[in-house]
Amino acid sequence: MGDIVLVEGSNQLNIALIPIAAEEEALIYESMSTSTTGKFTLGQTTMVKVQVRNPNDVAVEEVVEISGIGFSELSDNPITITIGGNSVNVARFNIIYDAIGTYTIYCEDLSTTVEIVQGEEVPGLGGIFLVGPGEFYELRDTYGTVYGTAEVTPSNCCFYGTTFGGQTCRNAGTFDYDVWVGYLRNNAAEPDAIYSGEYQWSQMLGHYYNWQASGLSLDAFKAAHPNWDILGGMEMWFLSRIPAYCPFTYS
Amino acid sequence: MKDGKKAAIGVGVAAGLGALIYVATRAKAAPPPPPPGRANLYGKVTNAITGNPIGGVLVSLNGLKVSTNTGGNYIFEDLDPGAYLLRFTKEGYETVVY
Repeated sequence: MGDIVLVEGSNQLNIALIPIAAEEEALIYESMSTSTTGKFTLGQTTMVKVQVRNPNDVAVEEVVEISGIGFSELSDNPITITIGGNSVNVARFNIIYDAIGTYTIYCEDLSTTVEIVQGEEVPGLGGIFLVGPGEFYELRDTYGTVYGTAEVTPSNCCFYGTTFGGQTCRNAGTFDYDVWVGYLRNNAAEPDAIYSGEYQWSQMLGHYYNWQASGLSLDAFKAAHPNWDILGGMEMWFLSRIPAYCPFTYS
Repeated sequence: MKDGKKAAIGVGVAAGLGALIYVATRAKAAPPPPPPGRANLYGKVTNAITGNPIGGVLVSLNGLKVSTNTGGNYIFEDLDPGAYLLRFTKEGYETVVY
């Protein structure tokens, strides 16, 4: 017993079938790698590559993001990539390692572990110092090059092993050099201060992260904080040039 | 056809089984009528989205099986009038049963 009844003669039944929508298959995160392998030097920049496969017939856009600690991004993160149908594409992230230790970088189900160590180069006396005055900082490298706009003079610059203001620059922590920060502008009575390299480094990174998190362009940041002009620029310079010049690497 | 115009499908159609059904008011390119006292069933299967004919659809009528041609057409001939089970199946499409 069925549900249609055919009568004598011709019976016509036209029908339209509904296609089953093909299910979109999940993208496959195939691999994650760094442009170099092994131990990494503090301040070293490298590229992290994440390869993603699209098993579907149609192209898709995918937001790829890496996470973890021990590094800062020098390029956008996350990154949106377009992956053609049944093909692969690679998301590339430029990062800088900014803390000693063993860390893992994650992306979806992928991960890669890196060991970040102190750089082998030990500079001579002088090195790079952060100096005052005031809220303005400058950097001077071993070769005497000054980065920033304020002139560094012997009176406000301290070299490792020398004394200034009755205090001796010293190596108090794991930095090869400590950082001397000059007296504050408009407050000559403020005692000179010597901060550990670790402290100053953390301060620098803190400023940088704050700036980065603000979502402002560097120009906008400078406009909003005119007194931070040098500082903002220095931070960017600091992070980008440290691999080549930083002598007070962690030990 | 009894009245010579309309297809007479006694459709106890459990409509909504994933198919769109329509009964032609006038048969086009209809096959020759069956002998007196006999029945036939014919029709065309199309894609509900594109409207294109679907070939290779397995059409089963009480165990009798035919496939649609490239034009989506099918036909069962020399049948006894009466109630039947009718099924349309094709990979990639929702199966329809009457």
